[in-house]
Formats: sequence, C-alpha cells, structure tokens
Amino acid sequence: MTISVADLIAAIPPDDDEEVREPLPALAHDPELQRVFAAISRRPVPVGALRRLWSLGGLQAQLAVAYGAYWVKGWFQNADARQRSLLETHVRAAVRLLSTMTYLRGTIMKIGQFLANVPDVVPDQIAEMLSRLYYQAPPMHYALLREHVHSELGADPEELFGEFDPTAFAAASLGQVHRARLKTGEEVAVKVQYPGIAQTICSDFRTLHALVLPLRLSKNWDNFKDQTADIRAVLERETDYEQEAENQRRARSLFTESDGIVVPRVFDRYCTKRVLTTEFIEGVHPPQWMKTNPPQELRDHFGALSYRAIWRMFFSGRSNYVDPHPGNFLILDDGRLAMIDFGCMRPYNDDEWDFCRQYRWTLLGREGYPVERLVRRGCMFKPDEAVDADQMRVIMEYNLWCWEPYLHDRVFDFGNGGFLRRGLDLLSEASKKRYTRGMPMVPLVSRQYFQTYSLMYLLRARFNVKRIGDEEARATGWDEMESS
Amino acid sequence: MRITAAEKTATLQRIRSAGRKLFSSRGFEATTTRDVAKAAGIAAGTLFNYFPTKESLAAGLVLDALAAAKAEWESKRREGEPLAETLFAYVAIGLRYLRPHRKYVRPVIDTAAMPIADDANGGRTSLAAQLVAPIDDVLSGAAGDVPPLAPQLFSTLHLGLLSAWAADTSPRQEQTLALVDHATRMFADWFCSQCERITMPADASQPLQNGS
Ligand SMILES: Nc1ncnc2c1ncn2[C@@H]1O[C@H](COP(=O)(O)OP(=O)(O)O)[C@@H](O)[C@H]1O
Ligand SMILES: [Mg+2]
Repeated sequence: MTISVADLIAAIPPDDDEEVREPLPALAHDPELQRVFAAISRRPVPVGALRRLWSLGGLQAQLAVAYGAYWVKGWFQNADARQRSLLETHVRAAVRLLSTMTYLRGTIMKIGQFLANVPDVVPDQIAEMLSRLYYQAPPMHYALLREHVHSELGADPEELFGEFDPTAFAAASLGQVHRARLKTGEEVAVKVQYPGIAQTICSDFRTLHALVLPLRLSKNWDNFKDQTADIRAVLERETDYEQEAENQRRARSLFTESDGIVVPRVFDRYCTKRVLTTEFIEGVHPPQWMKTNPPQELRDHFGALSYRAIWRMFFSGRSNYVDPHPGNFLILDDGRLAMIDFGCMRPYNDDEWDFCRQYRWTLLGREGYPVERLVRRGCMFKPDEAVDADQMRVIMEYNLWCWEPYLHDRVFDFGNGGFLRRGLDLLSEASKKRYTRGMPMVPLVSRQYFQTYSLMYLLRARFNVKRIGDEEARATGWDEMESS
Repeated sequence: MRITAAEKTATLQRIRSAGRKLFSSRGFEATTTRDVAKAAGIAAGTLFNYFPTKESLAAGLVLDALAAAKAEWESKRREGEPLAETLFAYVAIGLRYLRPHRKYVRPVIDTAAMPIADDANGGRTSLAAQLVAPIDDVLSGAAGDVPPLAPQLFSTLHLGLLSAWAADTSPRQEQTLALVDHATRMFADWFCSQCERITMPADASQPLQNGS
C-alpha cells in the first residue's frame, strides 16, 4: 500500500492533546510504520515545564517521521531482503535519534507550516492547529535572555537599549522576538536564538545524514545525497543570524520607496550570530488580516505585492526566497507590505543561473529551446542516456504547472484550490515514480513554488501574474539577449 | 615586627592579582607558589601565611568572584519570579563573574568540599558551603516543607554545571547556558512536585502569544 499526503493529514489528532503517543490510526495497519511509531512511543515522557514542549515536538516528529517513512518506502520495493533489513535498522535508529532531537522542531515546524497552507486536504481545524504550533517555540525566561544577550553583545538588554520588553511578543523557530527601543529612539524587534541550538541542529543533521547515507537505496542515490546536502546547507545557514542580517541588507537594497514593499532596516551594532535586531514593523500577518474580511481589490493588491517581492528576490537578487510563508509577511495599514525573514535564502551559482534563463526561455516558447533539452539538463541526464517518455511527460507537466499562472497575459485567479491540488498530485506522482533526480536546488525551488501559491490561495488573490513577472525579469536582461 | 591590617590587605591584593595573572596566562598547572610569591614581590614563606596551597589561592579567587556575583544576583531578583528563573540567574550570573577564572575552576571544584581560609574575617568556608547558602535561603523562603537534602542536591547539580562549563568548547560557552536552563527547570519542577503544600508562582514557561 502507499500512503497519501491526505492520509497523513487525516491522521493528525484533531486537538492538541498533551500526550500524543498512540500510533497514528490511519497508519496503524502498516507493520513497518507500527515499528517506527513504537520506537517513538518508547521515548520517556519528560516531566514538568518541558513536558508541553516535548509533547508538541512529539506530534510534529510523528508527522515528519511519517513523511520520512513514506518517502523511503518508495525505494523499498526495489530492495532485496538483506537491504531491506538494513533499511529497517537504519530507519529505526533514525527515529530513535529523531526523538532525541527536540531542537529539530525548527525544521519540523516548517513541514507543519507547509501543510497548514495546503487547501482542501487540510480541514480548517487542523490547519489552524498547525499554524498555532508554529508559534509555540520553547520560551526563554528573562534571566536566560539577559545572560545570553550579555554574552553576545557585552551588556544586559536594559543597558544596551533605551527600553527593552522582557516579555517576547512573538516566537521564532529558533528562539523568540522582543520589542525594544534603541537609545537613539528607533523601535526595533530583537530576535534572540536559543543558546547552543545552532550547533546542536548542525550536529544532529550530520548524524542523521551519516546514518542514512550508506543505505544506497536507489539508483539516484548520489543525486539524493546532493539534494539533501543542499537542503542541509540552507538550513544550517538559517541558524546564523549574521548571515541573515547580510541577506536582509542585500534584500533591502533591491526595493525602493515606490515599490510599496518594506524590508526592515538592520541595526548591525545589535547583531551577532545569535541576535538579530531590525526595525520594528507594525502590521498583521496575512491569516489574521484575512479574518477582517478584506475586499477583493485589497487582496489582489497584497497578492500582487508579495508575488512581486518574491520575484524581485529571484530576478534582481539572483536568489531563491525559500520560505515565503505567511508568517514572514506583514500587511501594513497604509497599503504597504513588509517581508521580514531572510534566514532562508539560496543564491544561484553561474551554472544554475544560466539554467534559469534556459528554463524561462523554454517555458515562454522561445525558438530553439526544446523542452527535451531543458528536461535533460534539469534532471541531469547524461548526454547519451535515454529519457523515458512518461518521465518526460510528468516532469514537463509539473514544470508547466509551476509556470501556469505566468503563461498567459491575463488575470490569474489563485482562489481556486484545484490549482494547488493539481500541483500536489503532480509532485506526488513524480515522487512515487521516483522521477526525483534533478539539480540540487530542485527540492527548495519546488518548496518555494508551493509556498508562494499557498500564500496566494490564502489571500484568494487575482492578478496578472505575467505582467509582474515580465517587469521583474527585465532586471536580468535575458529577454533582450540573443539566443545562443 | 607587627604588620598593620592595611599592609596585610595590600599584600593580599598583590598575591591575588599575581595569582590571577599567572593562572590565566601560564595555566594553573604550570604555575608554582614560588612564581606567585615572586610576582607579588614577597618571600615564598610569607605567601604560606596567606594561602597554604596553590589550590586555596585559586579557590579564594573563585570565592571572591562568586561573592560579587551573589550581590549582583540579589540586586537583580524580581518580585514573583518563578523558582526556575531564580535558580538560573544564580548559576548564570555566577558564571559571568567566573569567566576570567575559567581556566582554573576545575581544580577548585575538585576540592569543593574542603575548607578554605576566608580572609575577610579569618573564618573558614568551602566552595560547596558558599554555593549552597543562598539557595538554602531561596528554597526555605519558598514556604512549607523543603524536601530534605534539596539544597545539597542543588549544590551538587551546581558543581556539575560549573564543571561542564569549564570544559565547554562551544562559542562563548553557549551550550552551558542551555544546560543550565534545562537543569534548573528540571530541579525546580522536581522541587515543586516534592512540596505539595508550597504554592509556587506561575511558571514562566507559558506558550508564547502569537505576535499579532
Ligand atoms: N522586524 C519585525 N517587525 C515586526 N515583527 C517582527 C519583526 N521581526 C520578527 N517579527 C515577528 O516575529 C516572528 C518571527 O520572526 P522571523 O524572523 O520570521 O523568525 P523565524 O526566522 O524563526 O521564522 C514574525 O513572524 C513576526 O511576527
Ligand atoms: Mg519566519
């Protein structure tokens, strides 16, 4: 049997039960998964203040493991008995390891965020729960925060800042965010990372990687290695707030006043690898804003703005804004939109950038750019390797889906949930058939498309995608270039 | 010849600063009492009137740092602060003050239970005793019945944390901060579960509110 994403989601308990330790019911008949979940539930339940955090982590861990198992099962069919038992051992070890990795919640939450934005397959209540989970990072009390800030910046928060609110106003995936006022008067948001979390995440990833790598489960194994290494690199970079500050400064330079898009200013004097201080933006996140029943024109306006912001990062910034989920956008009263989180950026190298140009030209139907050549390059086929016709079809359909809103010079209606679902179906068809070989950037780019379109769906926005895309693409100079 | 109290204090100061410099630059192991005496400009025999061993000199430096830390911790305590936070601050502010002495905290911990000459009033104290006293106050101040041995248990935990900190290779010893956070929460949870009659203030670890 195979497990669909819908099964997984349906299996999530309906309310945030403190102790979710039963195997997920929909999967309970699968012996492989039963063992996996049995391993999770043998984990001792910790007591007291950490209990809530741990059990939340447990729920998310189950989701992530269910995904992992689903993914791994794809290769399973090809394996012989010896390989299969090796696989089981490793999966079990990985699960045991995962259950000790409370800090991975940052990554695990990202899965939750993604699911929270997928329409229809997620009942409202569950979507709600998942987006709430995102905001429940383990708290630092003020004494910890003060000590951590002191060792990072050399003084207590109340000495460094004119004013510092000891209570966090928002949770971040790796820490929490406090409001403060600089001595020079600026209102700021101070994001503080839980101490030691970056190092722990990085070493956990390395361990997990080391555990899975010797498996060689498919003929695409080396490619899988490259893709996961790419994801790992981006996630590791995300733990470094100095890198984030640098990304944010760069992003800020790409926008002007007239764009109506705000990237908060970074205050370097108050930034380290673990502390990020930026201009405070007064605004609401798209999901809360939607609760106010905004009229269609406004939803179109903010949909178009966020689309433009994401593509500005791509075409002018030559990097991928990997994480365009609603928590990273703020809607301002005056009609502007703020983009606030630059932890997850993936720059393109020259070869990839050249591929992006070819990709654009092919999809826009430029002469001399046949689809097959694009697919061969994107899927990293060797020059003499035959490409399966079905693989060609699935890959092409998926890519056409990614660009569907862009292909016609007319208003595209993102309010139709069927569009997103079609993308999901294509993606799951590709992964079931193991058409997963591709350039290392592929999984992250894919994630960006899904998150972008989920955001547009959330806003039920309608706008002319092509017009904005073409305007933004001008920065590359591609469209004026001679074909080569 | 009688030495005045002022002279005594001045000599003590010189020994201390010589010890601090040598222990930090050269390392505790490589420094001899003779080196310290020389750097302080006194005879080796005179040094023994003040500190009978190298360990006791290191311990004296550590105890002084901890005394200063305790004063700061007391000034920073807030009304209604949860127990875990009080305990955390106690350990962490201590670490802040011990930072210049990190290289020779280990040998001091090894002799934690041994009495050390306390120069201020000539009395004797030990690292373990000095660490536990304020916590004793905090815990018994929590009202009701304090579980037996709770202060001793905490001081054992505290010594363990100091020892982990001395060996911590992470940047700015940030792993220790996380460890102290976990350890103090765990201890506070255990402590509160032990004394039913005690009503502790609400725990600080409530889920954070959504930003908007
Ligand atoms: N400059 C800011 N102005 C206003 N709110 C902010 C700002 N920075 C962060 N926040 C709030 O904190 C939350 C988490 O910050 P974010 O940078 O997205 O953290 P993470 O990288 O963990 O996702 C945001 O969703 C937002 O609600
Ligand atoms: Mg964010």
